[in-house]
Amino acid sequence: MSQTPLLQASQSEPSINRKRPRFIGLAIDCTKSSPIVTGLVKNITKSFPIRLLTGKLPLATFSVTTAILLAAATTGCNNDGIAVYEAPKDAGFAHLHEGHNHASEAPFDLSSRAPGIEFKLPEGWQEQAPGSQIQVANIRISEGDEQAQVTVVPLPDISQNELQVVNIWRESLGMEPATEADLPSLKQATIIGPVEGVIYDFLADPDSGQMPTNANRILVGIANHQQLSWFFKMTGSEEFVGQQADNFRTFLSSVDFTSVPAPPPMTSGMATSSAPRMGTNSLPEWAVPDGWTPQTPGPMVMAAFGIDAETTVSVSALPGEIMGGLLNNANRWRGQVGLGPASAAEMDSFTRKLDVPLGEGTLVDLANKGADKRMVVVIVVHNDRTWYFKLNGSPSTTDNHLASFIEFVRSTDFNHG
Amino acid sequence: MGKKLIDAITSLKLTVICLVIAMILVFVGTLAQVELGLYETQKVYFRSLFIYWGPEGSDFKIPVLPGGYLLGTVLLVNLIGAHIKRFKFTKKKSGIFLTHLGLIVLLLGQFFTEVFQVESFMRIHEGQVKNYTEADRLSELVIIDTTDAEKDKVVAIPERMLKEGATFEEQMPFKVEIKAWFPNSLPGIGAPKDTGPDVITASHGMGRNGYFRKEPVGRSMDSRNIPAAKLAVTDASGQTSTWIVSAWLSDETLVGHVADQFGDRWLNLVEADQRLPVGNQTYKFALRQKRYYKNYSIELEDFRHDLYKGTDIPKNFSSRVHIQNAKTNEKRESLIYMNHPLRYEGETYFQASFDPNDPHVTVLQVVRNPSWLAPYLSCILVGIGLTVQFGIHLFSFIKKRRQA
Repeated sequence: MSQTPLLQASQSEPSINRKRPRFIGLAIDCTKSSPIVTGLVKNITKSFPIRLLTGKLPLATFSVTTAILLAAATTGCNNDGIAVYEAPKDAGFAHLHEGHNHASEAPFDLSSRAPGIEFKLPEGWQEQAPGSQIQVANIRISEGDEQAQVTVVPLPDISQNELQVVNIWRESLGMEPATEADLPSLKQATIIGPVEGVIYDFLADPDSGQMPTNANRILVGIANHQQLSWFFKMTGSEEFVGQQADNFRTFLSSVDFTSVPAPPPMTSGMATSSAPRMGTNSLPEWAVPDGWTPQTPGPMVMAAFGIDAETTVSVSALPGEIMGGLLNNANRWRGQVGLGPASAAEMDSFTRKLDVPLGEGTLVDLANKGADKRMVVVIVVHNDRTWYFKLNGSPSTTDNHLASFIEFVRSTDFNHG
Repeated sequence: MGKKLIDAITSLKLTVICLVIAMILVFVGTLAQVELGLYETQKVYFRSLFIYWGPEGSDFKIPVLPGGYLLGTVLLVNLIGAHIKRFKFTKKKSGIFLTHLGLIVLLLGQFFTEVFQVESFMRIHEGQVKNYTEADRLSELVIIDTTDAEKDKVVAIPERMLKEGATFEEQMPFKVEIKAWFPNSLPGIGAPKDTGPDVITASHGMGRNGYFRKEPVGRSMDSRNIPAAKLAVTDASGQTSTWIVSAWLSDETLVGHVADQFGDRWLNLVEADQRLPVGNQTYKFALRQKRYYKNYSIELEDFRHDLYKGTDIPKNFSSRVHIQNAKTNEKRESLIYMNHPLRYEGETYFQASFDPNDPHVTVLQVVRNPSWLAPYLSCILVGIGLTVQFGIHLFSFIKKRRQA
């Protein structure tokens, strides 16, 4: 079969049209057999895009068409005006009333709590049913006639709107709104579970008369974790909140976010982040003393060992420098063994330097004989990671194992991971 | 004159100038994000005809650079014009033709996406049926006739019309004037300590026992501005009442958040009588996120967010929805999960997020993009074009080789 053009120009067409494209490799002459195909071919070849591409479209026509098209697109189409329509009625906010400020006294089944955080309740604190849909926890503290309430609420990351949120609390206490410049002086750094957070202390303006005296002070801890801002708010009288402030800090330090579901992968460019995770199946090289039994490590913990019924060792390594600074961490650990917070000047009394193969570590030794608790922590910073070795037990048992614990620390390959 | 203009429009020098300005625009726009944030930068630098500069604190402004819209239009006209002027079709260049056509389709498709695409979100509880989605960053003032027990009659005024002094009276038995418009605001309970242009109260509704304070507009990508407005409503008898509307009063998440700080005092205010009786009709005012109503409804049957056991790594985030379309009598289920969106009636529903406070709530991102096919069509055209062009050269090479 000879090569015949598929698109055959008719004799009446201007001569220039004879140069229409041939389709390579096809050898069927349709134009003679089908007038419909001829018409179709003519229409296609005269169409705007083909004439545009083949240079058959006059520039003037092209310019006018483009201008009209762009003008219509930019001015007319997405320019919505006032709309009038009928719609089904919306539900109100009646459901939000459920439990607000009048939390049920009935026992609360913790298993029914929505996925959230874990924490340890200080003595005298009692968890109750959440007071609203957005609360993850609702805790009541009562001592005689004095009462305070602690609520835990996660919200989408407010780190960019911190001033606005702070001013909501200030407004609620009749305080003057703060400015961006005021913020640093209003907050204190604190440790909330595994993350660095801040704590705000608001006291109502006594002249405002907006809040009753049994709810005129608010302490708020804020932690940002996995695209969420977590608010831990204690409300009560000035005196009672002051009394419970240490308990509140201990409560904050006990928070564990590991049961919080990670945010879903976003489809529209919204970034996701995940907490630093420890690989549990690739441990560094170290010499584990005889008699230490490996245990299942908890969240954020690389390895854990049991020495006897009372004494345990745990190892974790987190990216970066000591999160929140040594003093804040030391005070958190002091809280865990039942000691009150220490000042920077008192640090030397319970910390000392410890030689490790890579240089120097810091040993924090916290003993509370009254509570029969002791915690020894060795901190080693190496290669942008901070290693925490913790020996936990009673003062007497930890004494027996302190030497082997330090040998274990010194035997660790800090270049691991 | 005409020839000179056409020469200028189709000049390849203009192409180079446009490309250089485009590079400068992208550079300057990237730096501007630090100050203005992503959305404002897009608006000022890329969705504009000109970029203006003026001394700080002065209203005097001069255009210093062409904006994205002007630059894109000039570049497109220049490229197509230059093509028409210079390109002569021959059989040997048919592949290049198709490739160019594909690129033009891609550019135009992107332009139409920019102009026509509508993005919104649907936040829905398990068991809830919804027939509308909501804009992420656009508000609307709604005047709702709530008289009918079954349905509301809604007059929705888009945010771009809400400016101080603007009046509206069509489709309403009264005149509504915007007395104050705060693009970002903060609520307060009780009487404000200070008065002035930055604080609004009202004679009716929640504004009698609460107030709103103007806040600086947040520019960052993560921040959300929560607007408030004071309305003056004048009825046929000439009586005027004032009202406050705000997203703080209409958005369930915000209401819940503030209620958690203020307790029932806030909920009582939110539900304060924001209704205006006129004759036999009752009207309600609200400022809410702009809604896009559909002619079908979606019910969330089940939302799952499973994790790998013992970890916090998401294994599966999925929403099982039931679509009901009364017009077509269609009733069917669909499972929406990562990389598996639901496409329905020209809209695409993506699994976007969830509510950390409520495991039974899903958030779907909804995209309407009439030119969503353009990139696919463009890829096909470019693919065919390149294949044809390489084919022509290959056949020509084989032919020459055989002859040799």
